[in-house]
Amino acid sequence: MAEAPLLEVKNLQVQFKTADGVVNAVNNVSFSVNRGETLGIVGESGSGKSVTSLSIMRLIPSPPGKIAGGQILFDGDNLVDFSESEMRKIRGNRISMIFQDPMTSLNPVLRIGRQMTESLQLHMGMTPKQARNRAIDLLSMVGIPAPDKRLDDFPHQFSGGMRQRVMIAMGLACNPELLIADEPTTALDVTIQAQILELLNRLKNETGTAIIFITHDLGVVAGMTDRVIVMYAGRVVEQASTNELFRNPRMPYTIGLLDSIPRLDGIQTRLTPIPGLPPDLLEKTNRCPFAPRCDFVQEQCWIETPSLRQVAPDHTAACLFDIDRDQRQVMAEKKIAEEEAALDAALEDVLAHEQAS
Amino acid sequence: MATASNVAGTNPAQAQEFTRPVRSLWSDAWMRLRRNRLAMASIIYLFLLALVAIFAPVIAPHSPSRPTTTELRERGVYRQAAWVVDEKNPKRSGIWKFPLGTDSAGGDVLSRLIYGTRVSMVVGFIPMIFTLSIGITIGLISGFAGGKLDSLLMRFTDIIFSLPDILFFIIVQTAFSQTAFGKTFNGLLLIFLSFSAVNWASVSRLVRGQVLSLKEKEFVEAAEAVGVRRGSILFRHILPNTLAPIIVAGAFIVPSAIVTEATLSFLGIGIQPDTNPNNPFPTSWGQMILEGKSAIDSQPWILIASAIAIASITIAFVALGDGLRDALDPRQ
Amino acid sequence: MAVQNENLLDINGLKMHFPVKSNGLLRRTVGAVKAVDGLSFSVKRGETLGLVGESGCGKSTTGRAILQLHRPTAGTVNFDGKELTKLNGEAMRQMRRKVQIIFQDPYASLNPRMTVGDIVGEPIRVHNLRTGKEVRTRVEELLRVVGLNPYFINRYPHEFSGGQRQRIGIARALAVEPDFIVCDEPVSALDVSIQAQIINLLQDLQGQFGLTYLFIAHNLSVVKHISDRVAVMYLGKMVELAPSKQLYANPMHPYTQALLSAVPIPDPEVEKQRQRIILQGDVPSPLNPPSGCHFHTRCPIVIDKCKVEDPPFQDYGGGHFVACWRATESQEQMEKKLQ
Repeated sequence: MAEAPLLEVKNLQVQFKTADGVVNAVNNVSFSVNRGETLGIVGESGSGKSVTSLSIMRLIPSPPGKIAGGQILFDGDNLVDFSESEMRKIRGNRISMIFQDPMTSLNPVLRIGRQMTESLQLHMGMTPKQARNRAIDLLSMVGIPAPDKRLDDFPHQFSGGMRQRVMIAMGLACNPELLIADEPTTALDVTIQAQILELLNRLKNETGTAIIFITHDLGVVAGMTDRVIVMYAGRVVEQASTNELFRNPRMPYTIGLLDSIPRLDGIQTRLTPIPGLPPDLLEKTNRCPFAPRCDFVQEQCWIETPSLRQVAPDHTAACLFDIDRDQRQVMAEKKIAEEEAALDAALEDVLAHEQAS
Repeated sequence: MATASNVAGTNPAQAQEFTRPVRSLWSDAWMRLRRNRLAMASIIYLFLLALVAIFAPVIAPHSPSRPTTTELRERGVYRQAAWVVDEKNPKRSGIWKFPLGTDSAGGDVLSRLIYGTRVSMVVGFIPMIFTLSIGITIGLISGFAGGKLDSLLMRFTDIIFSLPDILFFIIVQTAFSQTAFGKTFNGLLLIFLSFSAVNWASVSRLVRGQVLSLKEKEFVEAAEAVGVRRGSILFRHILPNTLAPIIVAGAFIVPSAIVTEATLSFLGIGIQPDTNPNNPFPTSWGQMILEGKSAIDSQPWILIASAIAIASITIAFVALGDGLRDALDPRQ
Repeated sequence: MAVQNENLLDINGLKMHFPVKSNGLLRRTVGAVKAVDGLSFSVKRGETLGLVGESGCGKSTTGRAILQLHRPTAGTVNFDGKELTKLNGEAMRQMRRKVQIIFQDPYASLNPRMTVGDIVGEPIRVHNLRTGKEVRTRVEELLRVVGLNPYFINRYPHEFSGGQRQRIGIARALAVEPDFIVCDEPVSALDVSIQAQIINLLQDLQGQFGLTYLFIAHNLSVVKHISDRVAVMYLGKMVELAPSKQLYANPMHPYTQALLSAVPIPDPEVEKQRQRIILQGDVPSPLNPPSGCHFHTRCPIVIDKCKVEDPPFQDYGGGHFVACWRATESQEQMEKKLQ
């Protein structure tokens, strides 16, 4: 690669203090985003994907949260060392962010026009008149009809899809180099989601902005991104180009995710779920965080936390073993049989216990 | 065939699930309350005050209502607090027998203060129970029944809510204080009733709001879908979930009732002083403030001691109420 | 005993309108949200009927109207030969044993002040299905059936994760031994890896107890996976109803076509090839739905007739019902539009 990446996150560590102890929300996370690229971050709730993106914006509520270690290199500068006022020059200007629920990030008592022109005047030094014209351009760019009139509306006068368009327009107002989209379509209906995804794809091609697309929806990732990282329990567990990841997933968790979603274009009579529950981030252990749910689990998994290793060209996975998707079905069935036996034993225990008491 | 996918105990990570103790929302709240130092200090202080109130006859060095026989001849002569020396009139100099001095009738101020705790405790808790009972009943009916009955009850509640309460108390006191009913328990019963009669309105509004939002909750729909009778839905599903805010409201009613009694007694229309030695509620802090005010130049201790007593019990209840709110509703 | 009807549930002309009151003192009725506006369909014994649509289309209201949690404004709900809209009091309570519901939100659907044992045991006690110690034994059995360890019987809901709580909700529904369960978005609030567990569980239970499901969801992939037949709703009306495979292979209503094409598929190579039908604009308000066909304001292949006349919901062969004037030519016309 000739060019240095736009964003490089190195060994990021984020902790939250809670009443029950310190939660390691993000654990030794490293990844990079190139200019003009769309990176997908996939994970379930509690995987640390949103915390990672908030850390890049330095928007972790502190206390209770804090960046406990690592670097966030944006265009060569380490954002972790930036002061709050330096960060304000970056946020909304060079990096901007859109959220799942646009209603919470828009001020309900201010007109849309005011909210849009404010950052234009602040970051781009525009006059009020210039800013208003630019806001009208932006709104029409994101497909809002009659933008000059809609500028004078309040956020609640827009529908959910339209609000998300306004958020995108505001996000792109200052031509940011990086746009972080945190579950931007999760709250929307499918047909509206399709509108927004199409819009984001079009804008990406027009403006060349790099995008970090955070989602739990593998379908959205498949259509939107160039490269994907998969997060589990605050760690990056797999990283590859989108095509490679879907064709040849190598981390048991990724395989499990792909097997547990029904496909519209496929015929499955039965899904193969991932058993069990995500781990408690409170405890510090040396085992693989996925070990308790893994169909491929071996002795070694309980005593060693695997780190990312190269499994194919430009494809890393955090698994100690070379496994692939085809092996799983066999393993899964074996494991279910074992668990059922264990369940019966547990039940007998309970019954025996009851009879005794 | 159901898969056993979620069964714990098959690996070390889930084994600990079995050993964890059961935690209800109440025990969680208690844990949070225990971590709140101010609230815990308040609880201890209020517990001590409750002991003082119950064991007042044992603790008080003298009778609160009249001078003890040996001091009879000193009737009409007040004494200063123990550490004050009155050079002009040695009879008035403080002695440690009466640590906070005596009042103009020869009564021991400290003993009165100790007995006054009883009135404050009773005047705080009993109206709270009345107020909550009326408020909860009306709020539950109003919120659960809905429709015309709800509108009717809520308009009535609005009227009560808009009454100027001090004016209402004054009218009630002047109208009934000389009747037999008004004299029951030194007039305390009248204070309980008039306080509760105007203060339930805010409780019933609170409860109704809770019921309305709980009625829409899916677990209530689920109970209905399962065929649970309406009465059970109300008492098993809705009422227990309104208790947390009710408890918080209750904790704030207590200081407000205490202050109301003190205010009325200060205005001379609260509880009536009684010299009968067998009366369990011979005096109140409000009354002492009233007396203390007229003797502010000669005996400031009466006023200061009773004002501190009222302020500290009020602050303790408010702190406890805040603590309860934080503990019961951790989202705020 | 008479021969059992093939249909367990027959719904005819179901309407559910919610009055909108003015804010003033008099609270006059100023309009009605037509959440469900004339539905007719039936559910066969032992099948899963999927009901899909976007938010506000009335799919959840339909589920609640069937259970009589909302009393329908008009229409009939015939369950196993009994007319539910006419039942009251004790008769209604007895019916509740046969028809159950599983909710979307595993956090709101369990009473936070009751233990798991009380939550699952309540239906058993209410209907006197077991007495004394047997209630507890039965609750333990139900917990085991839904894949929870009976050991946790004394725990409170907040001590469980979303997926486990959903299992508790399922155990509660099963406690009355129902014939029919309305599953109202049972997996929408769950993480992907947990969704599959619950879907498999629901399928297992159906086989084990011979249940009939009405499966309401907005996720088409999930609905297609679990359902034998699928119905699509738009703004309070049903626009298409067909056997699952048929609907996905040969959607005849333009809305269904748009909906299917909008669903992202977790395969980058497939995604690159796909052509999307992007519908313009938003769903109109059910307070004031468009004239004629409700979909005409967003339909890519609208004709004048659609704006004035409501198309009938009719069978185009093989139980494939569509409400569209251009049903037979819609795919062809849609293709042309996309060019």
